[in-house]
Amino acid sequence: MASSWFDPGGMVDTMNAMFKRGAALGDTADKFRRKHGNNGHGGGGKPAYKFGGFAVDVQDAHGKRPVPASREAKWLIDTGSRHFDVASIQAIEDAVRASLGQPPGQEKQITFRAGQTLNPGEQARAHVQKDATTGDYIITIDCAP
Amino acid sequence: MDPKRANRRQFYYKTTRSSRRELLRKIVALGGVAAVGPELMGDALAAGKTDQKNLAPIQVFDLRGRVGPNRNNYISSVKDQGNCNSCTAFAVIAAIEGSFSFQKHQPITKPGLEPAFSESQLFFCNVPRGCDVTAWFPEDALDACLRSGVTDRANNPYDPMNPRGMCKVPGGTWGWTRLQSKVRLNNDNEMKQWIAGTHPTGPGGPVIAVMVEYRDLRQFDGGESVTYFPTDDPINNPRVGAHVVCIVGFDDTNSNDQFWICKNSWGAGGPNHWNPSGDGYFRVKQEKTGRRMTYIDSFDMWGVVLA
Repeated sequence: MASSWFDPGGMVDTMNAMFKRGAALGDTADKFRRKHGNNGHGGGGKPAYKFGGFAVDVQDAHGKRPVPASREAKWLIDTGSRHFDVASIQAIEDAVRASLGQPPGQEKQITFRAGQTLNPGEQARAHVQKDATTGDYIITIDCAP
Repeated sequence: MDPKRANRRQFYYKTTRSSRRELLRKIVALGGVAAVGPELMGDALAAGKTDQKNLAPIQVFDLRGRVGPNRNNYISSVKDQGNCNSCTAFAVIAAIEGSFSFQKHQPITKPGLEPAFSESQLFFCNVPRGCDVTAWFPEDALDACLRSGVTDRANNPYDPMNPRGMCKVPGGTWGWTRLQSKVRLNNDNEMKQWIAGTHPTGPGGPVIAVMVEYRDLRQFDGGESVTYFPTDDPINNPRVGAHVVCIVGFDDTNSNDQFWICKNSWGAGGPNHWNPSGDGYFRVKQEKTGRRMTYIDSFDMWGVVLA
């Protein structure tokens, strides 16, 4: 079964659509704050942000979710700690919180890129880079096909 | 044995094929629960005496014969994969063993007298990273079984205490059991039909299913009296990844607690083992309604057909 990251319409495409500067990024940030609080650490009855679940749970006014129903389970599996390097998950969570935790209108764009194709069964990894000028993030994902 | 149960069993064995077909017709005519074993259903369908879509929904079926109308055990003993990511191989082999018994109408009547195929040969000959693999899905494992068949466990036994086994070069005397096909099951209804032997396109048996695994599954101790459903707490109960199990039954009798009966590969229970108050089986909530957490009946489900 192919990874949910790189296939056409897969998670790289989905995440880039969510974190693209403009209306999409503002909408994602609004949902993020409502669900996880202003800084993503939860509190006041809101759960703290964890990578993976957010993209499955949130929906727009029409009930549409970023991850299609047919891909939900694979996405949740691919972002679990057995399948994805734990330090990489932490780095992605830090970047997402830093981006979406900005005041409204100042969120930082996150661009996901396909990186190395790893051997089947190897844990996926993420490399997070921050643009010193814009503060935007580029996250490169290495994972098995 | 409970005398009533003994009587029922005696009745089951003594009925003739024609009287069993008649019994099925009566069950259906009465609008009752048409929960039947493979012999009965196979006879009825083969004889063209009944129409599948007219059957009342089956409420409970257990391929072990513990609950519901099936009184035969078609399921081999519970195994232990040890500290190795080999659950896919164990679930697939468990389903093949169960399908072998069910499809050939050969209930397991004595401990030890059961089909026993090699998880080691399947796993270590097809997964380059061996125990460290993070994702090997049932379809890949089933394709490997379709290519080469499965061999007897004695040819390449699995040691749960030291699970880092190897792919052996087959000996000339090795026996192989062939599969005819794999069947993707698309929803919970198809899974139930497959388990009960009433699926329109195949003979039925256990179902292989992938579930999203959360940390609290490892700590589960509900025996077989509590239905497992993950705690929805991403911080304290994070997702681990995928786990593959062999589903051997279902129970829909309580609309508030409908579950799958799953054979796991984490040992047969007991002190200091997984689910110590159980015997290797556990219940998992059906997710046709409400929040989906495990996706056990909506993501990746398979039946197998023996050659």
